[in-house]
Amino acid sequence: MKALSSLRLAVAAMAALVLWTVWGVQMAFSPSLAPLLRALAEGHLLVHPSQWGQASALGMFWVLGLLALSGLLALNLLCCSLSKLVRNWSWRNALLLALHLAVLLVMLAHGATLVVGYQRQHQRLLPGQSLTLPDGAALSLKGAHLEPQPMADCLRQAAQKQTRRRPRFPRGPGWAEVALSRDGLELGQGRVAFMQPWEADGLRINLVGYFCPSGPEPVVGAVVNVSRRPLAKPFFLAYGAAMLCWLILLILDLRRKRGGPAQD
Amino acid sequence: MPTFFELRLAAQALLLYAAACHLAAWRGGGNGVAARGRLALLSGWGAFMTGELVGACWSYGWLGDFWQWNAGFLSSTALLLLMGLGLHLPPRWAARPWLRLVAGAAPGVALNLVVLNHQMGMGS
Repeated sequence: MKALSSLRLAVAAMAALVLWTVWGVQMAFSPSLAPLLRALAEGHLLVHPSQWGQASALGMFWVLGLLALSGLLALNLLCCSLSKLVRNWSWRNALLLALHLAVLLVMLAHGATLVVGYQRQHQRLLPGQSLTLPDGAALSLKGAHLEPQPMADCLRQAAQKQTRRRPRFPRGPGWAEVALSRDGLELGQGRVAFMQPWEADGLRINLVGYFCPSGPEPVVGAVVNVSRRPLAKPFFLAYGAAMLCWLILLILDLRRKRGGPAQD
Repeated sequence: MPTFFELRLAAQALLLYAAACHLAAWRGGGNGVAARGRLALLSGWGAFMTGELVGACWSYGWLGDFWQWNAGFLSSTALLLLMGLGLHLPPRWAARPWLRLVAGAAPGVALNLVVLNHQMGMGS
């Protein structure tokens, strides 16, 4: 317990993770890691270990190393918080403990997304086409509409963005009508636009683009991201709590610094 | 989402100030300067982390997930860990001026390199 909660272990784990993630940044576009990152994003790499054999050995080594180091840091964070911060009770230590536990929850939520929920990125659908999702639901595109945007509008929006006069994110230049069904039973129908997702049955559908296949008649298709992230709300709540604790701690530190001699 | 970029700029400024304080402490500025550097590092960490929270909201609204497995998100994680490393030096290690300088100045230097890399069009 003492070794697991030591600051030295925390520093060592963080230093190793810094080097590991920098290595990951260097390899992010390489054929050895890029497919694995996509599989991690879609949430099926750890759920279906049978795919491990098809993955590159170097990429899998990186993924497993990242998980091991993150797990070690999370364990250290938990042990350190419980042993050192709980022992010496004060309001400042209580806030520090809350901050550390909130960061731990954020880490756990990140880890849990690897096995809970899924995402399908950049799915191209033409009107009438449907996509079967891993949980058996089917998403179909009823129609897509893309308005040609005159250059004057683009320039006006860019100018408003620069001077911050734009009241809210503008509605996209088009929309797509999607429907969700399961076992032939329609669960709902909704309209999605850029930055305006539609949610139904725990699923979130985001419109991320349009496409037009070559053919005798021009047809507009929609590019959508479909995700099921049941841990999104706990993640944002934990993250918000961590930031609130940090802000209060910062104010306390500033007041203490102003009131007395500086301490290192 | 201009807030994301504004918070990054704020973090950049605070971390550069932290680096300058740690440099001054290393050159004999005393413990007061070092404490100011640590406070700036803590503020920079918070500004950066809040920026990441805003970025996660942006990503969730735009792409449907609060985390993306790409080079940009991984480099942000590396930066956050680097800041955390500077804030968690054991007392005996923090007593070594050169180690405190490296740990306190590295996040500012690294964040500026990442932003510079992005501005020059080489970023992801």
